[in-house]
Amino acid sequence: MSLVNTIAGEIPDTDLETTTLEKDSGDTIVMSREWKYKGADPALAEHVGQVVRRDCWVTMKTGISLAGAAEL
Amino acid sequence: MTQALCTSFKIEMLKAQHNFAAAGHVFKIALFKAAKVLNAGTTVYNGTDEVGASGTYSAGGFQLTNVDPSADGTTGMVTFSGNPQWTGVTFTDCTQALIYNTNGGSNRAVAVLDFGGNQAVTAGTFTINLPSATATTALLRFI
Repeated sequence: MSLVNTIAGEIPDTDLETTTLEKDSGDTIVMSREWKYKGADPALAEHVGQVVRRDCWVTMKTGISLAGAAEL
Repeated sequence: MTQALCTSFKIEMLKAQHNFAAAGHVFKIALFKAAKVLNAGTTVYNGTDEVGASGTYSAGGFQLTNVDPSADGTTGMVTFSGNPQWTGVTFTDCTQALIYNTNGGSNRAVAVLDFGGNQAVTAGTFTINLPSATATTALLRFI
């Protein structure tokens, strides 16, 4: 068991449900991972079923080019 | 919005106002909300509609680490070492980024990056994986 930092503090990963999402937007691929609280700690009752952490990675497929002029 | 090299940057390059060498100018990348109008006409960084400070994100964004520009075939390339990353951040509205040159406090705009939609982060890590430094993918390419 490890602890995950969330908006509700450190929560055991066994009390969290993790979902990974991927979206291809052309120039970028966006990956995200969400942790929802599914534990039974009454102190965290307000967080049950809520996203308590979300990470995001934006991967740029290509940068930007200053296209060349016509060949001379 | 779309990704773009800022027009002012193209002119400033011709005036030798940007130095991407490893020991050159300090460049940063800042994150912005959808309300921010960033495009080829952007000339300088300003903090209006920048995402709020949280976790390791603070106004002005992430300082990039220069790498000496190089060539792949006939293409000149600019890239940076390492990927911009912020930890412990919470954003509900982050759609774009601006790379800019802080030299002399000028904050001249270089390029606009489009994240392909609104990205949200909750008490988490936000990472921008920069593209590989090749003739067809490098961050900034002079073909």
